[in-house]
Amino acid sequence: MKRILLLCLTAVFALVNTELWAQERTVSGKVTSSEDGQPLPGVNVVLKGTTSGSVTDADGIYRLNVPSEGGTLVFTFIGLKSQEVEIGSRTSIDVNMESDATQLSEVVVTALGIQREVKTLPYAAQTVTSEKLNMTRANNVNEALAGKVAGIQVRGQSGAALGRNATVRIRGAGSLTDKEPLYVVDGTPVTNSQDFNPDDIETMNVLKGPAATALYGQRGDAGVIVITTKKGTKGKGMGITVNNNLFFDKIYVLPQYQNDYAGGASADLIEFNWQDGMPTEWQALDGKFYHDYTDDASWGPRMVGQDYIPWYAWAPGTKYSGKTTPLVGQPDNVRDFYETGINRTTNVSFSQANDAATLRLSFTNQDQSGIMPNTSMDKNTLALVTSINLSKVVTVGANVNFVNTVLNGEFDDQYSNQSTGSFNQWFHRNLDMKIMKELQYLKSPEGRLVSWNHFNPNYYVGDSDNDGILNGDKFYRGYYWYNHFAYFNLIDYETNRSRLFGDINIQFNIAKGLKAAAFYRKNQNSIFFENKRPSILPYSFYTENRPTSQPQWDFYGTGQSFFKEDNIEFMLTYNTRTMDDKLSIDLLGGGNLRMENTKTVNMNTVDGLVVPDLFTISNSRSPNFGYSNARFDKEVRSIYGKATLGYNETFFLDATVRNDWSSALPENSNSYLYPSVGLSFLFSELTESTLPVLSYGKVRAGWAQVGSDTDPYVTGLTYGVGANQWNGNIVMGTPNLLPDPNIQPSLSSSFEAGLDLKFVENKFGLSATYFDETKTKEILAVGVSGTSGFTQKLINAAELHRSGIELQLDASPVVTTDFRWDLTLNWSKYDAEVISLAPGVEAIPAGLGGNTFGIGVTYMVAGERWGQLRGVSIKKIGGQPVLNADGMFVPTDDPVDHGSVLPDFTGGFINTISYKDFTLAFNIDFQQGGKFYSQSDQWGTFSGLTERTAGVNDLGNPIRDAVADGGGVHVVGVADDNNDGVSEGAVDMYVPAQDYWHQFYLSSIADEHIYDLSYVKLREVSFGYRIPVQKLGSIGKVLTDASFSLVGRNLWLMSSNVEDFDPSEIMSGFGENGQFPSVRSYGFNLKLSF
Amino acid sequence: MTAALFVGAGCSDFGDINVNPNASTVPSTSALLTNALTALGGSTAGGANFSAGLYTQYFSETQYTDNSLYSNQDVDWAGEMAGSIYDLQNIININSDPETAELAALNGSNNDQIAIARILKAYRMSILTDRYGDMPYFEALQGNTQPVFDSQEDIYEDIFNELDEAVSQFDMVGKVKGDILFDGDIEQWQKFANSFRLILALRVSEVNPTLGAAQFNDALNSPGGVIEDNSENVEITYPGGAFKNPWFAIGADQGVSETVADFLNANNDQRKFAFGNAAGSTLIGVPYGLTREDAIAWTAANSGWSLILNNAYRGEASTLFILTAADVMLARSEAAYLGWTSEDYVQLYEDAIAASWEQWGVFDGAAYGNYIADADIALAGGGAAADYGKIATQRWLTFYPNGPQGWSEWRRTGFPVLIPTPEAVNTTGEIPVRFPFPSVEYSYNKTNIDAAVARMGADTDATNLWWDVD
Repeated sequence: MKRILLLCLTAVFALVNTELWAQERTVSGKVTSSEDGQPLPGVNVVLKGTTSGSVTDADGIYRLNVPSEGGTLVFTFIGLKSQEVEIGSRTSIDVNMESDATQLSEVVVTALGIQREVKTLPYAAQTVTSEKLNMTRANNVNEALAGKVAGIQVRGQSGAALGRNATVRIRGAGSLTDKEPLYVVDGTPVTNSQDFNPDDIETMNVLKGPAATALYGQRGDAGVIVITTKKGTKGKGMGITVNNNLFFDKIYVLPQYQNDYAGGASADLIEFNWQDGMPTEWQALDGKFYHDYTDDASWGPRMVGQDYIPWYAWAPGTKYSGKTTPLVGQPDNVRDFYETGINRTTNVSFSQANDAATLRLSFTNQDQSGIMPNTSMDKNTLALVTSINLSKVVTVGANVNFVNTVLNGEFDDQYSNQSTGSFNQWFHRNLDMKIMKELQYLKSPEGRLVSWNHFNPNYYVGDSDNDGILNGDKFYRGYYWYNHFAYFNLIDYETNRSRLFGDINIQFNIAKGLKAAAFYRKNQNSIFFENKRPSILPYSFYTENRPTSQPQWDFYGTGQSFFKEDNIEFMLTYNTRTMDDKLSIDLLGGGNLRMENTKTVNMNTVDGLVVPDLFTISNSRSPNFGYSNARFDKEVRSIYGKATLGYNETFFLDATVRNDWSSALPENSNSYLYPSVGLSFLFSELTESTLPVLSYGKVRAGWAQVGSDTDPYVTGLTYGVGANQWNGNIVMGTPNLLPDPNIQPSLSSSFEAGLDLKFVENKFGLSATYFDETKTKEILAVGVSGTSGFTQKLINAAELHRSGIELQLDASPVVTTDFRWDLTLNWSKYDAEVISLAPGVEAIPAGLGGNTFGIGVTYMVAGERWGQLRGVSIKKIGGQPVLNADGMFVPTDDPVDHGSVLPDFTGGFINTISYKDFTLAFNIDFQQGGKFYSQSDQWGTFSGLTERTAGVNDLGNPIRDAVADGGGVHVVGVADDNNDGVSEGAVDMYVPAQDYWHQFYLSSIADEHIYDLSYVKLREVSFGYRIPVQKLGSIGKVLTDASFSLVGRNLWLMSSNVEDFDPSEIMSGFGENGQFPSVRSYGFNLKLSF
Repeated sequence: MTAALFVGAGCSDFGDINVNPNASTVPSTSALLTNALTALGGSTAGGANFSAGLYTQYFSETQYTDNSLYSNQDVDWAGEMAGSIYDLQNIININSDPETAELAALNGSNNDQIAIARILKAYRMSILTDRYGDMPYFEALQGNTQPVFDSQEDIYEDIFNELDEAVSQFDMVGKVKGDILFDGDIEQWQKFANSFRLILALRVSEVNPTLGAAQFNDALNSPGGVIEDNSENVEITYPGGAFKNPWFAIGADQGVSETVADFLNANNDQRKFAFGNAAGSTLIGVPYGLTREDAIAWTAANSGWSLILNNAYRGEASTLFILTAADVMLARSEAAYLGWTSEDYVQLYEDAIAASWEQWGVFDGAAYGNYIADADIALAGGGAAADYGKIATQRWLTFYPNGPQGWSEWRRTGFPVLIPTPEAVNTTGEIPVRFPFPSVEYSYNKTNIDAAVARMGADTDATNLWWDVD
């Protein structure tokens, strides 16, 4: 394959030597813009009636051989009015070109890096420019896209997890899995969006459906985001730009907590009675009261400022030892845990261009400290973009991006993690975080860290569970939890990641209109991690010598992984015009060889460390330390072709065809071919005179197919050898995935049609698109009954359908010299339905994660909207809940579907208002519909942490008071003790609050914790001032441009149907899983150009 | 154009690229057997099997008491079926397929490997059917993702046949590799199969005593005999490290139940020193079925309550008992009591208790003498009505801490008399007698599961199994 590509290249070189025709004299000149006098590079200069022509260079200079008798030069450039100039006898002709408002100047970079005029496109492609993208310089490009493109759903992630990216769904979901789009940077596919530096991005073009992405083949089936980076340009000054920004991150949305009841399971304070064997210091506390420390819920005593013994008073040696304190709620204790994150980003770029070369070099440092203790990220990005014209015919270039990220901290936001997993799930509402921080390294006389979740004092004497360790030693240790500050500050988890991506390329202008290009592209990622858990942590946990789970040991883990994808790409293009320039023909043919390779090696100690705090694998307490290694290879070979025919700049026909061969499919069915065809009609060309208000009008339609393959090594059963031996016997297990040796490529077919209109010299614009896509034979490992002998099966059967509408409205209602107002509204609505799964399969778990307790899980259900939240519900008769004799809800026999996790519509609203040198820009994005399940809510209510587990009932009494005293939760429903669906009369009673809030988990009822994903959010605000450098005298000679802006992100969740979480930042496919809270950022940005 | 250059290149031929370098396409049957055996101990200890021990009040929860209060448990059988049970099926398949049998024979004779896999599979499947009732059996483990659910009666019949046939299938030539249970001792496998068949034969005593008696006698007289001495026990001594005794992982959130402790203390049963860590001469159990609040209050107010098993039996490298001489002798005692055999049920009973004490390393001659003479323990003989409950209670005790066997014996005999927790959160307020089917089966295999439910009764924890005749 590689040899064939070389042969192809040799053939191209041979063509380069084709002798060009001789001429008799030379004419040259400079083309400039009539607006600002700047030189215009890239202008086509053609001798009329011939094929002889040239293009202006970076300085706007052209040079062309012409017949001695002269002729007419035609200067053309997209977006500018064409000019024809008689040569006569002149040898130097300078031209000033004006912009052409009636001609749409927009050019977009489409599949395979092909630049195309928007008017020729038969599909929707929405471009986001650097300015819009970097309204506030978000940390990652996905987050920066929120609200800026019609048809995408940005699923934000809490800024507390440094380096974690928002994810993007384009047009809802087209696969059974939640695929992310393919990112293509200057033609190089990069499978992860986390390493794109917003400072280096010129434009992002979102290609939404198969019609647009057909040339990317299978990898584009979830959409493609084409990123074009900034290139070296010749500008004023030295071409140096310095961009500096500083953000402060503050905790934003937290659950509404109750602040009336203290920790523990006991509703009364407990009197302490000193006994023999207890520390003598404790005698001072004799007769005083404490709340239950060991139970980590907050069903404790009512807090009315009464004296109590706090957790830290039992430990000797502090000013608090042996002292009581008033028992009061700590409404801000969770908020107090979080620090202010600081995020500094500095970018320096150098840009230059001349006849021979263009170059841009950019360096970015991002130094971030997180809102959780001991978390940080240090990221350095180097980007080099260059091209060198070796001759008129040959250009070579390189794009090199190197990104190194060093991430520190544990960002494990799952059930029972050490921050939110406690605060929102198992916690005491009376804990004072300031004292928790002050006493984070407080140790017991035995040298254990003292936890707020230690034992109750009457445990102190003896060895109650008879395990040989005295209770006195175990007393201060955490029963479930460490001091949160101690935990975060003591663990040391570092991930060091280096990514290299880019390409080297060579391009040939073989003859007029005929070009060839070859690329070698690389995307590789190396990760090294080390996870160190010091010995003091397990020694401070009460189950020290009886771990109920591995992480309670001291621990050292380390590993490396390496991923690389190489692409060798070859392309020939030919453009020409015939029939009096009326017919334009653009042809492209190419091939691609993709080679993927992954290698991983991981090791970890098992059962703790022998020598405390010596972090080496050989120090593993168990000689069977953990280890694993794996490697994966995959290759895909492709050829493709594209033809675009244009007639009279009015009609355009687009057709593509691509064939892939994938190594992951069985040899007899590993080849798959798919075509696309599209039409666009620029009807405004015909209405120019009759309807002058319509400055641009186009209808477009397209149909496309895309095939797809699967992962490597899934066509047959293979048996790995287990990591550990049993007294010299190796172990092997049968894999749980039942393969299908006859798997076939899947296929999606889509139809798309749209209308683009612009009015009043492009001041107002409307773009509308309808799409309809069906995916068949989707390949997926689906869960199957374990009774088959397997837990998953590779299927080739599912059918999905999605359709929707996307609207984009642009307006510039006010445009004057000093004042300008631009706004864009994006809106889209989509349906995504699972038509069928495998034969006889009604539903499968969606693989979007589920909460650990299985109460609300996302399923793909045949005949239903994509991603149904499924869970047991409350049984109802005639809309009334069924209650049992105790007043508890009766659950449904089977789980029911509570709705889709996909929103009904999404959109955004971008406003930019400029007055003289001031610019105010803001971006609001919104989403309507869709559901999520909250695990934090499940436990937060179970543990009596959240506001609604306290409060008063309709009798005006606290719900936590005894029912006999007028307390309890009022429940109204019907009885159905016979379980026959017939009401046996009304039930109207009060039930104890704890029973009420425990029942949902105990009966696995999901309803109570399902919330709405709808939101409206003020995502970004920027208020900038462009410093008039020209007026700054001598500084202005060095400084060519300067701007300062105040910026804010995630500023205001304007509307939401849930108070406790930020629905724009729901982490998992099913919902909220004990995730980190949302973060609000504000800061400033200073940009200087020299 | 360029396309033409590629097409001729034999694009479909990728050579070895899709050959998995991490794993072999040829499984080693000895490694599959070892893998299946590493999971054997879990069939007494973890997950649902632990809950079975809660239901039968071997243990009490001291912190999160939901399972003790009979909260709904959704236990998937996939980990067992698609895990080690399928490995056993795979051993049978590989040794049966002429294309692969020859290579597999390097690990021992094909028949010996198949027979071992059949015995283990029968044992594991019996635990599953005793947990759920009807379930896929004949069509299961064949890659068929929607197998029919078979009645428990049919499943039992086949398990009896499997255990019977396997015992006769052994070639008894050479040694089966990977046998970490008996190190290739075929006679031990035969004793395991015959002994377990005795246990299962008694399990149908209420629903079909004719079948039970026939199977019991057939097993008792089958080649290889049954386990008669502690040296023949089915037990696993763990190497520790990567393969730990499953009880090692059971932490202090669970303790010995007061139900067990009180019985042992009341009769000075020396097993109090093995079933937990007795403080002094008393084993302090935790009251069964407390709410979380009460459990925390109780553990805070009471000292010296015992974790499950003595430290000697809960170490990572401790020995775990699967089936012992005491279990078998008591089964024979019960069968004799029922008139299925003519053996001396009193003698077997007394021998069994001695064997049990010896098995746990707590035998003390004087204490034993007092124990079997105690009115609570001693059998009257001659088929006295009270003897049945005493035998059944001892059977419940000798199986400790094997939850599934103890729970099954209690479900069948009703002994010992267990009082459900007054704090029960399930609908009936009674001790569960079954686990509901895994809820995912309603998505994966709805038609067949619906048919099974229609046949068995509601898919709840209150529906009796086929052999569980009230």
